Amino acid sequence: MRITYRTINRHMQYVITDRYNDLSKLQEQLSTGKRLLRPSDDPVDVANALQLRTKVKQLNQFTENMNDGASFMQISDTAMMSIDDILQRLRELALQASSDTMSAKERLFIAREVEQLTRQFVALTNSMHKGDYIFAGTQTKIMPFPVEGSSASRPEDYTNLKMAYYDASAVAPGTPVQIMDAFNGRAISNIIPGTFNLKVAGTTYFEGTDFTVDYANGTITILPTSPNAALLSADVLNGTIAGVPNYSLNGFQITFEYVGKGEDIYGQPVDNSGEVLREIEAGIVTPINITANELLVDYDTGTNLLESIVQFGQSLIQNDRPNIIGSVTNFDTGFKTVLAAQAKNGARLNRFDLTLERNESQTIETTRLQSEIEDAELAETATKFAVAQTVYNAALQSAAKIIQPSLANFL
Amino acid sequence: MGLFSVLGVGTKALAASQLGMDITGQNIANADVEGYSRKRLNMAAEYRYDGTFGQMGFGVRVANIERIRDEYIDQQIRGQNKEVGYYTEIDNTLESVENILMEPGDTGIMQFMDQFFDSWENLANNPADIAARTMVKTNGEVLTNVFHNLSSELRDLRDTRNDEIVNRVEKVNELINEIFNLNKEIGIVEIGDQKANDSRDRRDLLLKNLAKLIQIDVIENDHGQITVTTSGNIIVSPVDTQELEITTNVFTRPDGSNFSNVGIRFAKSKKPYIPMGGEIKGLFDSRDIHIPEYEKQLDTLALGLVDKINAQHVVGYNLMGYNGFNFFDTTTTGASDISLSASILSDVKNIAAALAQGSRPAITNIVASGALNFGNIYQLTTDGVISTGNGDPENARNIVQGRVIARIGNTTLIENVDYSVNYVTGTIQMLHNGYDNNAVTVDFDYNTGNFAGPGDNRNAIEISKLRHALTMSPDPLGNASASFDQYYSTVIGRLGFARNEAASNLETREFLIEQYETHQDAIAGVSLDEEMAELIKFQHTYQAAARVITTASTMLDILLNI
Repeated sequence: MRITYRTINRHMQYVITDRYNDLSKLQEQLSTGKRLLRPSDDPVDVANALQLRTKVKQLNQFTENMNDGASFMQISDTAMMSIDDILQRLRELALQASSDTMSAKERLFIAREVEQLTRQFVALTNSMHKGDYIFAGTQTKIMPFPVEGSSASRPEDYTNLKMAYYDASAVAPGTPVQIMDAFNGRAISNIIPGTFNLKVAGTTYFEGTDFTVDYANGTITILPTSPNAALLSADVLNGTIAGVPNYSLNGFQITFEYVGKGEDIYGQPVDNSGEVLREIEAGIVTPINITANELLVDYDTGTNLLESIVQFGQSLIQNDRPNIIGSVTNFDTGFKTVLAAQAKNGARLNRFDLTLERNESQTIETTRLQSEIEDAELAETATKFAVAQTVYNAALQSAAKIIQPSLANFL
Repeated sequence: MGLFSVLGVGTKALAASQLGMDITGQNIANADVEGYSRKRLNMAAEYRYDGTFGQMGFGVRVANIERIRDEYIDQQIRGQNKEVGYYTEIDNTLESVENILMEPGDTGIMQFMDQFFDSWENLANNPADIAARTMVKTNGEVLTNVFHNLSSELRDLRDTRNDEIVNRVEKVNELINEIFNLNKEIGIVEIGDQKANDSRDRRDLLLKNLAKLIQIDVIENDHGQITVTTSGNIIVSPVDTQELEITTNVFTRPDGSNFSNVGIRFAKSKKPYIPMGGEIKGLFDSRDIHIPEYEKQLDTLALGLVDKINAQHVVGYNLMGYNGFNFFDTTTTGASDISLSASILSDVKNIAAALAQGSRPAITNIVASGALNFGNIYQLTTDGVISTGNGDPENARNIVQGRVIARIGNTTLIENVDYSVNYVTGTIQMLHNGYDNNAVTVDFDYNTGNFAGPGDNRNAIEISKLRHALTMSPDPLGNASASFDQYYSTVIGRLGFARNEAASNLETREFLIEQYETHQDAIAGVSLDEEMAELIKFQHTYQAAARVITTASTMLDILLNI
C-alpha cells in the first residue's frame, strides 16, 4: 500500500485520540474510585449496583428499626421485672397476712403497704418510652391506667375531677350501690384500697361499721347494722342527692382514688390491644409491644392482676382471711401472666438479636458486592493507567519521529 | 526532419517539465488540505507522419492532468458518514440523558426515593412524632422536586433538539447551494475534454459533509455534473436546487404545558421531508423516540408512586383519627407535576400512619335528614335517621366538634343561633320554631371509637413495604413484576445499553471511515517523498531538455558558420 503523509497523520491522530480516551477514562476511575460512573459504563452492573445500593440502605433502615424496637422492648422488660418484684412482695405479704394469728389491725398496716405497692404497680403499667406509653397498645399518647381522684367535697375542682354520685335507682341499706362517674356515667372500678372516705355534714363514717366498699367493682353498701344506717340511707342514698351535682350543699362528701381507663378526647375508653409493629426484614413485620391485657389478664383463668391486687387490699381492710389466702393463688397466677409476657418479650428480643446479626452480615456482604461491582480496583486501575500512559507516550513519540522527516530533509 | 524541429521538441519538453513542477508544487502546497487529491501530469509522445518512416516522434504532449482518486471509496465514505452522523446525535443525546438522570450517583432519583421511604420507616418507628412526620413531608417534597427537575431538563434537552434540527437544516441549505455552484463550474469547465479537478475535490468534500447530515444519493452525468437526491427527491440538479425548510407545530402535554415540534419540508414542492439517516435523522429520533422514552418512564414511575402510595394512604388514619387523605395530589399527570396533596402540605398531622382497630373507620361521616321541630330533642343516628326515640343502638355519640353542618336546601343554619348540638350524646335541638316542618339535612362526623391511636404505625409500615413490593411493570396478566427501584434501575440499565449500542455503532462506523479514508489517502494523498522525487525528476528532464536546445543551437551555429 502507498503510504502518504496524510495516511500517517490521520492514523496518528486516530490512535492518539483513542489512547487519550482510554487514559482519561482510567484517570476518571482513579480519581473517583468508581468503576461505574454512568449507565453506559456497564449497564448490567449499573442496574445491579443501583439495586444493591437501595438494598444496603434498606438493610440499614431495618437495623435502625430493630434497634429502636429493641430499646422499646428493653424498657418493657425493665418495667416487667419491677412488676415481678412488686408481685413478689405482694405474695410475701399475702402469705404473711394469711396467718391466722394476725390481727385485723396488723392486716390494716399491711394494707397501707399494699396501697403504696398498688400505686407503684399502676405507675409501672404506665411506663413510657420516648414519650409513649408502652403497655397502651397503639394508644401510646393516652395514659392507659390513670389514677383518678374523686371528691364530692370540692366543687371548685368540678371540672378537673371525676365526681362520684349514686345511682338514684338503687337506694337501700344492704344493697350494693354502684358508684358512677359524674361526667360520663360510667361505673367506677378498681378503687385504690385505703383511699375511700365518707363524710356527711362533717361527720366521718367508717368502713366496716357503717358501710363496706367493693374496691374492685366500685360499689358501696350501707350496712344495715350501722347505727347510722337510717341517716346514711336518707341523706346519702335516698334520692336527695342522687344524680344531682350540687350534693355538697347537703354536706355529703365521698373521696377516693381509683384506677381509671384511658379515654380519648371524645371521652371514650380507648382500646389498648393494638400492636406496635416494626418492619425487621423485607416484608416481615413483628409486634414489639406487650399489651395491657397480655400483662394483666391470665390467658387461662381470665384473672385480672390489677383486680387481684385491689382485692387483696380490700381483703386486708376487711380482715377477710379466706380471700387473703385466695390472693396468694391470684398472685401465683399473676406471676404466670407476667412471666408469659416477659417470655414473649424476651423471645422477640432474641429474635431481634438474631435478625440484627443476620442483617449485619447481609449488610456486609451486600456492601462488599456493591463495592465489587461499583468501585474501581485501585491496584488494577493504577496498573492499567500506567500501561495506558506508556502507550500514549509511545504513540506521541513515534508520531513525532515519523512525521518529521521527508526526502526534503535529505536533499 | 530538421534542426528546428529538434528545437521544437526541446521546447515542448521544457514546457512539460515546467508544468510537471507546477503540479508537484501544487501537490506539496496542498498536502494537508482536506479533500485534496493529488494530481498527476499525464504526458504522451507526440508524433507526426513521415513519408519514409511512418510515425516519427515529435516531442512530448501533455495528455491531461489527472486527479487521482477512487470515487467508489468516496461513495463508501458517504454511506458510512450518514451512519456516523446518525449515531453521533443519538450518542450525544443519550449522554445528555445519562448526565441528567445522574445514576449511579448521590443526586439521582434513586437516592431520593430511598430517602423518602426511609422517612416512612422512621415515621413507623415514631408514628406520633411531628418531626418524623415533617421528614416524610419534606422528603416527599424533595422527591417531587427531583422529578420536576429531571422532567424539565429532559424537556429542555428535547427542545434543544429542535434548535439543532433548525441549525442542521441551515447547514444543509448552504451545502446544497455551494454544491450547485460547483456543479455549474464543473459543467462549464468539463464541456470539453478538460477536468475541473479542484472543483471536484471541493465538491466531493461537500458531499461528504452533506452525507453526514442527511442521506443522499449521487448520480453523475457525462459532463461531470451531479444530481443529488434525498429520499427520492432531487435537491441539487445541474440546473436547479431545492432547499429544505422548517415547519413548526405546537402541541399540548397532559399537564397543560405546550411544546413545539419542528418538521422539515421541501421548500418548493412543500412535500414533507422524512429523514432516513444522518445527523438530522439522529436528531429526530432523539427527539421523538429516545428522550420521550425516558420522559415516559419517569412519568410511569411518578404515577406509580402516586397511585400506590395514595391507595394505601387513603386507607390510613391521620393523627386525629380521620381517614381518606391522599398523600400525593391526584391530578398528577406525570413527573412534571407530581406534588403532595394540599392536605399533607397544610398539616403533617394528616399523614396517615395508623389504621382503624376494627373493620369500621375511626371517624365516620353521616348525612342524616328529617324534620327538626322546636321543642323536641332529636337523636342523630349512625344509619342517617333523625329520631326522637332514645336508647337506639344506632345512636351516634361523640360527634366531632365543629363537624356538624345543618342545612335546609341551600341555606346553612347557624349553630347556637338556629340549633344546638350535644356533642357527647349526639342530640340536636332547634332553638326557635322558624324552621319547623322543614326537611333538615344534618351532615356530621362521629367518632366510632375505632381509631387505633397515634401509636399505631401499621399504615406507615404498609407504605414502607411498598418500597420493595411489586408495584410496577405489569406482565400480560396485569400482575406487577418489579418494585419501584427495580423498575427504575432497569430503566437506567436500558439507558446504558442504548448508549452503548449507539457508542459502539459510532465507533465501528468511525473505524470503517478511518479505514476508507486511509485507503483513499493511500490513493489520493500526497506523499512528500514522492513529490520530491517528482520534483527532482522534472528538474532533470528540464535540464536535459535545455541541453537538447543548446545542442541544437550549437549545431545551428555550426551550420550557419559554414
